[in-house]
Amino acid sequence: MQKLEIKDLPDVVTAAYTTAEAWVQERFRGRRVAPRPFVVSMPIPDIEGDADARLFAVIVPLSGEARARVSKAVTATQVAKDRGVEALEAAGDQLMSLLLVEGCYWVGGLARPDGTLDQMPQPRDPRDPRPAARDYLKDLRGEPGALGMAYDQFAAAVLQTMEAPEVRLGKL
Amino acid sequence: MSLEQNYDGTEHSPSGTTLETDLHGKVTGFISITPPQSKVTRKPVKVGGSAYPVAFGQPDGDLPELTLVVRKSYLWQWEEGIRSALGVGDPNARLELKDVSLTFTLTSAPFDEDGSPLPTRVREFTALYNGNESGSDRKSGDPLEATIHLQQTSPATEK
Repeated sequence: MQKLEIKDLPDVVTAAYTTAEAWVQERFRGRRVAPRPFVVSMPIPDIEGDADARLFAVIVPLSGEARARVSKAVTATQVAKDRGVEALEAAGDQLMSLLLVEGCYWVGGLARPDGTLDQMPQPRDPRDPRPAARDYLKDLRGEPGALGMAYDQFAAAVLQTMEAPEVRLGKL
Repeated sequence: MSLEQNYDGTEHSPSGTTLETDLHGKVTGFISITPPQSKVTRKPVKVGGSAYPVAFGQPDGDLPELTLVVRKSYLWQWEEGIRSALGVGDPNARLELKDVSLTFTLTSAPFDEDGSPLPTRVREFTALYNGNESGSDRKSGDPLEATIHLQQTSPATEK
């Protein structure tokens, strides 16, 4: 996973980032902190004829309530360990799905055969494309190679946003 | 659970939906609430002879009465929370006559028809406490539930 500069991105990704930035500003309007989205990408070297193929995602920061919900899902995963493999898998899948639906705003950027860049389908609710992004990544799970790992990789990227920026407590 | 959602399909919001007030904190006996309204209406202002409005008036909040259903055992905690916030010692005081204004935060953690999570929604609104009723006689549909009546006083805003 690699963090990127906005000026180096393809147009379709820049457009998605700009939309996400406006969405975040509206969503966190009136709060003390106005966070910013960021773009992550992962290489998809398996695509024939395109060694530089990358899949991009626009990650938006989690709200406090979403963070609390993710924390509960993490706890549920730990509890599920004692209930067997199936319960653990189900809890883990719920956790990753939750991370993506809360934090992944847009996915796309793979080159199509006609030269244009692929992106996730139009969401049912244009005001909130996150469920559509999650569903698109879920569909990619069946793909062979690196593309099939995008779901897990981007979920891990959202999880990383919960850890950063690093907070250190100190005392005099 | 009668919660307005922005998604198609058969999404639902079971135990993940919580309600908090500024006086009570988390409403532990919360069962359901009628959807708070976000809409306000603006009436057009016309001058004599004009076919079209020249301006629109201030937002007119025709906000609805809401019905909050809680577990009956929670009702005394609800009233106690209001009494302690107002400093009312008399347990028989008519709290619904005291214009108690509460700020509600409704947090919905919904799921879609496949059981996959949908984004968390948080809505905030204010309402006046208009009294309660709890049926424990034979006419009541469910004697374990109590109904709290509220008058919404500000449009629900997404947080």
